[in-house]
Amino acid sequence: MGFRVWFLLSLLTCCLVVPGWAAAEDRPFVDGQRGGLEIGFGGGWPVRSTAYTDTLEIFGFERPYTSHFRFSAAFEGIVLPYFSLLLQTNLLDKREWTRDSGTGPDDHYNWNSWTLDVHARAFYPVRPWFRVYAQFGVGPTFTGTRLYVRTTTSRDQTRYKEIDVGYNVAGIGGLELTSTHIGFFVQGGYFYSPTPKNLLGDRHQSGGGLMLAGLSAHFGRQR
Amino acid sequence: MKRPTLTLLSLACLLSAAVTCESDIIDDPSFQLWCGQRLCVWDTEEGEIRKVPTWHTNDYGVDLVGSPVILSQEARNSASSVRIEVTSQIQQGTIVSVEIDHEGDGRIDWTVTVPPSEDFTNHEWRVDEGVSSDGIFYLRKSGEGRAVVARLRASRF
Repeated sequence: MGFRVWFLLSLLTCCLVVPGWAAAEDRPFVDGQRGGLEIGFGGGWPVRSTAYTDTLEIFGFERPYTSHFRFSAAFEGIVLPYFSLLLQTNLLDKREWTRDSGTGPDDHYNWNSWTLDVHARAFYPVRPWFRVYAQFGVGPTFTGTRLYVRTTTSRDQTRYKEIDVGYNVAGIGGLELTSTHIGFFVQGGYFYSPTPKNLLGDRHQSGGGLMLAGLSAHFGRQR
Repeated sequence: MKRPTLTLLSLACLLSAAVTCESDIIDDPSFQLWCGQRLCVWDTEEGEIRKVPTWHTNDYGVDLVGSPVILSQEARNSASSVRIEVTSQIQQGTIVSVEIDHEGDGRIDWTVTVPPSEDFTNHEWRVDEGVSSDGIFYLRKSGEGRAVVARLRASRF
């Protein structure tokens, strides 16, 4: 693959590239295998305060629990020697808010945000068993919200479930060490995901920074 | 039942009672409990009200339609000092006030006007005069503008 193709792909993925990397085009990564799976676990740095959370506070919600746990799973298809496409899902945000109802059990409101993205990854195989990469992703974000409130004079609460669909864009960088089929990776990045949105028009930012480590598998050697 | 078990059960009951001890003086502070077109707990003494969604489809507020509108509720408990919290969206020129009849004798002893605001806003006041268990809380609106109250909470200070 020539330098120009590499450069174009890198522009496409919004990644910064050292042009000299192109000189390594003779080194096939993981023996030329074309498919891969990745599962990662780690932590996130969510955005603390947004118009959405400010509104929750105005309506009496407090004591928020914010999970820092993050999860990622992806299927990778290497479509060109230094370029792959991934179908990736990420757990972005998980929060729980409580409101003193004054009488009876407390009101609760929680949400989970998941992404389903297509990522474009540009990678450089420093060795056949070691690569660094940068990727850019975009796709929908699905946020499931649940509100538990009393709506009758009994003490029982009613649960109201809603799904808010938004979008996200992501930039991620990482490195991977691998044997022929099984590898280990670490990656870090940032997601921008303006969801969920309330009836007043206030949006949350479910994204934020994250750092993941996980296992990868490679298969599909090209004959 | 053995004595240690009974003791433990008694302690658990005491603890449970302490935990569920409610500081609120009026019921349904979030206007969540609707019996058809009217509020189940609040009395509509005058005017028209409507159930409206606020930030969430199922987290309601009360729209005080037209003028005047008066809602009232008797105090559930007495308190020597009361915290009043109001979350509301009130159009300029519309007057919404919270009033307290401390003894339930028909005389308004304390009143405050809720400042108007384009967006939902929180306001809080402290009432040092207290309220007896015969006391009555009023929410009163005058003026034709829009006024939605999402929360009127009165609790022991």
